[in-house]
Amino acid sequence: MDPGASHKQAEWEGCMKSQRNYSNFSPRIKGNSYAGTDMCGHVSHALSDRLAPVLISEKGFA
Amino acid sequence: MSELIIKDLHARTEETEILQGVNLTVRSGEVHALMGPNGSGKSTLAHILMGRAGYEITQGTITLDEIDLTELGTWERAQLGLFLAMQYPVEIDGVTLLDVMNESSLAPEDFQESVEEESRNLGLEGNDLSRGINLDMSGGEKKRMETLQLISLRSRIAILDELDSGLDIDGLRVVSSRIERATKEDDLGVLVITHYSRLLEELKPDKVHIFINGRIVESGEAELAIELEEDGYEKWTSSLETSVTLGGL
Repeated sequence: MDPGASHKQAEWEGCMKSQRNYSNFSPRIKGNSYAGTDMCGHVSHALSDRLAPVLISEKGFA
Repeated sequence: MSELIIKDLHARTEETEILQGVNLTVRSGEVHALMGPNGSGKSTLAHILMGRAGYEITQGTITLDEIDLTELGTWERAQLGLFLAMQYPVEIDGVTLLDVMNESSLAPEDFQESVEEESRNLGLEGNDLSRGINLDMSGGEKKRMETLQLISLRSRIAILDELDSGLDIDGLRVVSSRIERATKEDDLGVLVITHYSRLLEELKPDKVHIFINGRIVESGEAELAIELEEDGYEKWTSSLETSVTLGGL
């Protein structure tokens, strides 16, 4: 499995296990780390630290 | 009482039709075993039920407690109580099980205590809860973690995709007996995908279904799993080949 596919799988599993929608994750840079808000408006630090950089790169955020 | 109903489900990728008319109902407290040769579409069915992208449902319906799942996202299906234990769980670095439980709408209020107790029962180490999900774990430990998540999230219907792969004999017994207990005490409904009847010694199926070429070709009682392990799938694959040949005449 290539790293991109692995991250997508992690995102999908994250959606399932946490029961939150990280597919519509809106990442923003906060200090030296990342934070984000899911579709329900919850600030989701749990998945954000690792997945936001992936989503940022995949969705074209610099 | 929950009820997962799959009716005449057809699904495909861009290239191939994979599911060709699946009909199956799983109710609370029931265990259904799905057995079939490699490449028959069992894992694809599991993924489609959970809403994985990349598949198109061309016909049929999936409902959970009369709610149509086909247009819902994975997270919405999970909120309704559907759970998939992955065949190959990925490592999610930076996300602990307790993080997930904090996010979950189904998690009970006292989840930290119950998660710790369950993890001990499943033979996991205390520090497994404070590291990233599945991170640097063996295949067997990952399956114990999947089981821990299934039990802790209080799911209503669970799909177990080859939960037995990677587990040693003791692990298999611990995991399968815990899930069996959940079917009795918590009314958990289970669809278990497996190649081997050993898993079904503790997790006793109400029905065994044979899945070939994207559909169920026969259903029977628990003894069917033992018959399959002794004789293989030839009886069913050869009869399908015959019918295809006759159909082409």
